[in-house]
Amino acid sequence: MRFSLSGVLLLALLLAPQLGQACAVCFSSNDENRLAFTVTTFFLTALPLVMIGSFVLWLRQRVFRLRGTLRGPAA
Amino acid sequence: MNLYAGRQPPVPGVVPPRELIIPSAVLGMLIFVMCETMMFAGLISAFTIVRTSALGAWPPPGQPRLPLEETAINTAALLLSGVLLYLAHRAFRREPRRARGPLLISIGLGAFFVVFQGFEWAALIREGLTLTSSNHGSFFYLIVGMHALHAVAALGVLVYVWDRLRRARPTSSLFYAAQVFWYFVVGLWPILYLRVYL
Repeated sequence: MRFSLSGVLLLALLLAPQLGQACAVCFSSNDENRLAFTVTTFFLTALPLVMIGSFVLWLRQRVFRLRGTLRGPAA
Repeated sequence: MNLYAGRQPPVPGVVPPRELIIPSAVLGMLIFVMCETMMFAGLISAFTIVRTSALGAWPPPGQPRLPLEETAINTAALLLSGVLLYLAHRAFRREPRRARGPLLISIGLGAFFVVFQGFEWAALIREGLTLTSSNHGSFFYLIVGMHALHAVAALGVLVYVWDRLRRARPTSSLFYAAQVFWYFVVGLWPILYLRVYL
């Protein structure tokens, strides 16, 4: 019974996410402000991933280039 | 990082030269720059939220407008400084001594940027924009001040590199690390200018 009640509550929150406001201050009647919250959340989430991803790709490219240089030209 | 870590040398019996994938100084600077990028991203995000939640006009009524045109000239000086550092980099790869000239001009333009900002701040304080006058003033001095602090630190590193070049003791890893720092300062500024000033 307890499990089913939790399930119903979870379903209700999924269907009506506005009831489940995670952050009490992340609300404004101003559309521009609401958009700013969404955009900055995405920005702060994506930025570290982009930076670390770019760094790893650059490092990988550099390793391949250095390996090619050390092996020398193909005979 | 050693390229041959855990690998057999390509020619048996011949130990290949130790080839660094990335100099430690550059790696350390890149990690530092990534951390600082996140700090500025947080500041810009907070500023965006506060700006969009403000009732009425931005800047708030009674607060002075930021000097757009003068700062645009200053921005151009900083960008030119970045270009000159790139020219110094190219000269360094040919002959380290040749990098001294463009590097010195780059440092001069960077110093001009910082000093110009100092005068701009003094004028804004006289007009009534202070850290406590409004959210506008708080964010302006916090974000632009943090950038200025980084600019001063990066200039210190560039002067140190120039001094080593002058004494004919150049270190390529130090030069590249200083470049990373200065490019960060130069690349960040146009974003701050567009977000904070416009």
